Amino acid sequence: MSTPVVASPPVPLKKRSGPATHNYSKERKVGEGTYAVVYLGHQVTTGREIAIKEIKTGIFKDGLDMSALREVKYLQELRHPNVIELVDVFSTPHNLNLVLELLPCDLEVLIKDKEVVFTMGDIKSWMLMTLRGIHHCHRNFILHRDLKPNNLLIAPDGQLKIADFGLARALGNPNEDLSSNVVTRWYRAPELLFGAKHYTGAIDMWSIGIIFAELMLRVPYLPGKDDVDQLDVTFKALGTPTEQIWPNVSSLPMYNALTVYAQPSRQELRNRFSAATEKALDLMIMLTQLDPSRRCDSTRALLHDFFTELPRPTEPRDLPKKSIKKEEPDAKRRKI
Amino acid sequence: MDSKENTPNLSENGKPVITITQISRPFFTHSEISYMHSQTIDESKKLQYNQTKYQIFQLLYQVIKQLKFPLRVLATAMNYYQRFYLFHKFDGAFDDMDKDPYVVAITCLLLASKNEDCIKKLKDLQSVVNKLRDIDENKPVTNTLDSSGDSIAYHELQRKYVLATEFKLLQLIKFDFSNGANSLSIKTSVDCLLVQFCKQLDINYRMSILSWLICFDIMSTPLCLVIPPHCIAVAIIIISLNLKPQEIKLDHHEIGEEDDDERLSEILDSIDCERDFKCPEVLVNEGILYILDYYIHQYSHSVLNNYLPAIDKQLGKEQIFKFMELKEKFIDLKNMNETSCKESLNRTDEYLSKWEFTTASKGIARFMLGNKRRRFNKELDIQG
Repeated sequence: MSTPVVASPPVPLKKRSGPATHNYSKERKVGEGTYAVVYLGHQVTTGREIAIKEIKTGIFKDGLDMSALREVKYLQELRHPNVIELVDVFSTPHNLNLVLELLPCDLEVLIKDKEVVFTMGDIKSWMLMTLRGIHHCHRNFILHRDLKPNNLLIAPDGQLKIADFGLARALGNPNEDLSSNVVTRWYRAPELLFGAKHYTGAIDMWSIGIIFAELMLRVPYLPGKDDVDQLDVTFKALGTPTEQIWPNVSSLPMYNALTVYAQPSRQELRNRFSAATEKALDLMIMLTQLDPSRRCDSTRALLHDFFTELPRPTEPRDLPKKSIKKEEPDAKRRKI
Repeated sequence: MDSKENTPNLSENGKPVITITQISRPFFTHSEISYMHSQTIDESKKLQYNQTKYQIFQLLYQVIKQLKFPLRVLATAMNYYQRFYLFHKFDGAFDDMDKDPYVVAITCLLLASKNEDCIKKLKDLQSVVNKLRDIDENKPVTNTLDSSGDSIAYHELQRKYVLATEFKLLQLIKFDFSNGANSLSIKTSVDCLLVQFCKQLDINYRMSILSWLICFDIMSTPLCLVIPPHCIAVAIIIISLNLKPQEIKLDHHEIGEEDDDERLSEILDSIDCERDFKCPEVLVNEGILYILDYYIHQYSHSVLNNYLPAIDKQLGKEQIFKFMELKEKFIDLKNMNETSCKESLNRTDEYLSKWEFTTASKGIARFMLGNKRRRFNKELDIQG
């Protein structure tokens, strides 16, 4: 099955092209992180736009970076319209290259772009696509562990795709401790804030609930300044968990010295989310249940009435796009 | 993904570039393995290869014990080590770090710990290994990677070699992190699977421990390169239930396990590999015969030997005869058909030749997960 192929007649490359890596051209460097450089380019045969993540190997303290390993490991397995596609993996003498589909925009950019107006149909559409993507991960027993608007990328045709599997891991071995130091702070579920060593897909569902709130508010819902403040901000908004609403919560490692806030009343939530319908509020409440065992999973969320009530979810191609302002070439530069 | 046919290969100056598409093959037949070894291990070095492997696996076991890693890290590391020498020359030159099997061993442990999500700093792995080997990490050595001939601390140089070897190892496992499982949701560690299967079959403590001991012996063999983990687990259970020794030297006992004989026979008769565990029967048979052969040849060196009495009471003979008896019983089992892997054919299969690390510098190597996994497609019809 190893098939060395010698090329068919050479085709002249476009002048602008940088160093060619056989089927892919690297054209423009768009970002550089600690362990990778990202280039934009084309798949030569099809003209398809792609992103190449060039991973530096062997020059770091500990060799191949964990995030790169996880990205290869999990994206090779997953194939879904709402999960970023890993097109190819290849090695050159000193680098590992991951060829990913090019997704020029992300949800954070849209949320911050005040020129763009979101309708409930738009929000519904993005939520649906996020939930479908995460449902596919969870049914393959993979946790994403870093959902946030910045990792929900938007394809040119409007499809939303979950990206950055650098923290993902499989839920394989029931007795094993997992690290609670995952997920970007603002989207971190309460069980993680309490330092739980065992958790489930519910942590991703929490993040989606917080993203849902952010889509409606257009500002981050729970922007804690540090890990301690995050607990305070979270419970101020959603109430402090007690043994009554979350049995055994007090046995979690970091459950102590909490300010007790009451659960928000429905009316308080209505006031905060003035645009939300009752069904939308229902879904958000289900996604942000403090007790992970009561939080709804991806199946229940996808079947929620919110998605069947009017307005219909916007077709992906009709979803709002980034407003075109004076060209800021680096504005969309993503952190790696 | 693109098929290779419509992939033109260009370099900057328009000259054709060699591209190699590597499709991961998690498993090989025995004849493929011996063909590959014939290329990487000289006839004169075979014995040394096996001795070194034994020493290294003993060492790795000590290391994971000290670091409190789960057993699956050891299993994956041993899988990587054996896979490495399918494609890479074994020189057994311990004083040359470029060829030192211990550097390979540390690398395998490093990558296994990453893949199994038990991350430790390379420095910590090195220090445990070097301490166990009684090597002074800080002694200055000549930097063989540098022509200046400057000296460098031993662990620094070792680290550089490990990192270089890691990139090689990644190419040899074809960037396939699934350990041969069809999907990441299927557990890949034989010892975890075994415990679960025993529980599912309601097998008592004594027999479960026996299975686990066999698993521990088999873990260090190349069987993991031949058949998938769940088939190994089922093969082990079948052998345990056939052996059914009356005595095992154990500290703990379950009440009433002595009277379980009949029930165990019923369990054995009721096992259906395909239905219960989605294991193709041929592969399980392959595992059974391999394990029996292993004990027939190496019983005295096995872990199991420490737990079973020297003479089996029922048989009135040494334990090894029990394995021979079983082999006799299973002699007609249908196992893997290797007619498609004759040596003449193996020679034409470029995948099996020694991996050329310079390939990537001449051209490009692409890596894909294998479709050979389709053999085990039946596993996939779990309702999700």
